[in-house]
Amino acid sequence: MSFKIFINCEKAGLVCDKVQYEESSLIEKIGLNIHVVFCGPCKEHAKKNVKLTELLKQAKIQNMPEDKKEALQQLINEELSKGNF
Amino acid sequence: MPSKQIDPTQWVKRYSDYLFNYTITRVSDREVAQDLISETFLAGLKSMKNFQGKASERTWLIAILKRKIIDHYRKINSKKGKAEVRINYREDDGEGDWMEERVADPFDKTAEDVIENTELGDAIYNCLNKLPERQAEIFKLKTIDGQETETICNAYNITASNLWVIIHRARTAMVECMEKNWL
Repeated sequence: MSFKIFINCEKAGLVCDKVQYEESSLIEKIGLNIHVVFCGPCKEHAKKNVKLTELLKQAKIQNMPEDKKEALQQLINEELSKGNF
Repeated sequence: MPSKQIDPTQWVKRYSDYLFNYTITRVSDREVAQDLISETFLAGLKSMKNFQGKASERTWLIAILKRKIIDHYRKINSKKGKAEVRINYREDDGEGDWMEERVADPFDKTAEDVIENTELGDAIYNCLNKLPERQAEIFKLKTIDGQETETICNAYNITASNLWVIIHRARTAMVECMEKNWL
């Protein structure tokens, strides 16, 4: 693993995504922060990416729990197997 | 031949998250939401032969679900007593803070937030619906369920860098889709 402080746009995009899930290292974050000082498009992208994370949090969206999905699928399968359709 | 096909075996996989979110922002009770969706799918199965393929499967299911939600509210309203008037006038102490009491209804304070969040949730799911199926699945697992990278990689048999590429594509598409109205 290399500790590069200057990263390219591709790497910056990746780090920026990882930041949204709090899975980036400190070195990566420093690299990203330096990159966006010089790179307008990445700065813009990072801003929107952060905003997306905020919106997703704000909406408090939730998926249906897996076990409920399975139960539902079973219900449909049973109904279909009765063949009344 | 209908222009759009119907396939109930895929309903749970394709629409359950969307329908669940749609319902929960409107009835705010997980159990009730779950029941309403079961009822919706069953009603869908029963009226499948009436599906004309004019709308998409999802639109059609939402139309059924909307009716179920309205029915649900009708039912609980008929159980409740009639309109309740809430006036907090203390007769023995009429000089209280009557002015302040009338300034703001604390129960109303969140109404706007709720409406906005309902719309936001719908917008997010509409955009999710435009993503390729696998991309949307992985994005939802990671972002909404908050699953570990490793867990998802194992389940889908992909490497971590595969996963981040998928997440990146999904996020870029989401930003593009949400940009106009929300970002």
